[in-house]
This record gives sequence, C-alpha cells and structure tokens, in this order.
Amino acid sequence: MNIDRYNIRLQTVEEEDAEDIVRFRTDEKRSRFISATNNDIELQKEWIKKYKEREKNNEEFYFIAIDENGEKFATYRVYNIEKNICEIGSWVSKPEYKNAVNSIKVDILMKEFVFLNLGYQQLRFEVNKGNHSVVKYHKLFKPIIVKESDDNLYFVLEKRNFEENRKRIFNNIK
Amino acid sequence: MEITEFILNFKSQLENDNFELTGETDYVKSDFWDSLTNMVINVMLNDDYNVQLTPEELNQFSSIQELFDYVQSKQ
Repeated sequence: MNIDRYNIRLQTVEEEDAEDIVRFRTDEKRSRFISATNNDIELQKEWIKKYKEREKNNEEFYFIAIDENGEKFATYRVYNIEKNICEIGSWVSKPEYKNAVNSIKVDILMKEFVFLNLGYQQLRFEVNKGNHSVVKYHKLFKPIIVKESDDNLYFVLEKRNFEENRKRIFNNIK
Repeated sequence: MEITEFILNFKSQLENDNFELTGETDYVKSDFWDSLTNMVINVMLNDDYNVQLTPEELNQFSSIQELFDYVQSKQ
C-alpha cells in the first residue's frame, strides 16, 4: 500500500527494508526512547514476514517513508487496531537525515491515514517522558494525557483536535 | 513586551525546564534544540506574536536576544 502526499510516499515495508529499519532503530542517539531492536537483519526480515500476514488482515500497517529524491528516511506504524481506537508508534528517522520538515510531514501523514483512511475518531500513542521535544511537539495537536507511568506519557488524540491544530503546523512548513 | 517575558514564554514551550535561558543563549547550539523544538517555537512565534518564519530562518538567529529583536521589529 502506498500513500502519496506532500511530496512524501509512505509505503508499507517489505523484507528488503529490513536493513534500513535496523539501521534507523539501532542508532545510539535515535533509539534511546524506542523499544530495543536486535541488529540482526535476518531476524528483522522474519519479523516483517510475520507482519505482512497482519497487514493482509488489516491488523497492522508499518510504513517506510520515501522523500522526493527517492531516499528512505523514516518509519511509522499503526498497531493495536481496535474497534474505536488504534495506536501509532515506531516513528523513527534515518540518523543522518537532515530534512526535518519531511519527518514532521510523515507524522502528519500518519495521523491523516488513521483519521481519514481508516476512519477513526481517535488514536493513541505513548512517548517516553525524557523525549522532551517529541512530547512537546505532539502536544501541539492538543492530545489528552490519559495515563502516566514513571517513564511514559500515554496520549489520546481526537480527530477534531488534530484537524483544528494541523494548520498551525502547516503554516510553518510550507 | 520585555525580553524577560519573551524568555519565559520561550522556556514554557519546552518540556524540560532544567536549564537557564538568557538573552545571550545561543538556542540553536543548545542541547535542547532540534527540529521538533524548532517547530514548537515557530508555532509559538506564529500564535503569540504573529511572526512567521521557516525552520531555516529560525535557525539563523545567534541568540534569544536577536530573535526577540526581530520579533519586536515585526510588532
């Protein structure tokens, strides 16, 4: 499945993306706040093979983002798909990728996918409290904090709030 | 508008307030600065001061004072 918007393509991952995914997720700086990933590419390929079954059943969608130059630069995933809500996560960019605006576009595209394509009215996500800039960025969309642990903040974002605040973000990236 | 008020507003946009900000702070070179923080500050400038900058332009100022002076000039 492909989503093409804002000069970005989101493409569901294939086994051939395993090496990029491992590289994105095991970078020392970028991986501080995400779940640990084994650096074995074959294991990642196995994981993707099983994921493709879940994708076929519309149980999960894992995207790799490709920019206008054909460079694969980020990932994002929709999972824990339930009747009235689903979860987004695995938002990780390529370590040396410099186009920050494109990374933000990926987040907006992913939220649009959940609200517009999948038709949800709300989504949830969690962010490590130490990941300050990500917490603050997500708060621009006015999500609700529904739970808090020692390490994480758990958010629910309503479609209405996303749509009302998306323009504030776009004002600064177009 | 006073610079102290502007600095307080700037600081309130950051999730982590465990550091000192002054007019001389070179925010772009600070540990807290990254592309998402750039976006957060840009939204603050737009919402609170009606100033619109690209991410690249916001990265061009060498201190909070310099940014404040620019914002003042646009009021």
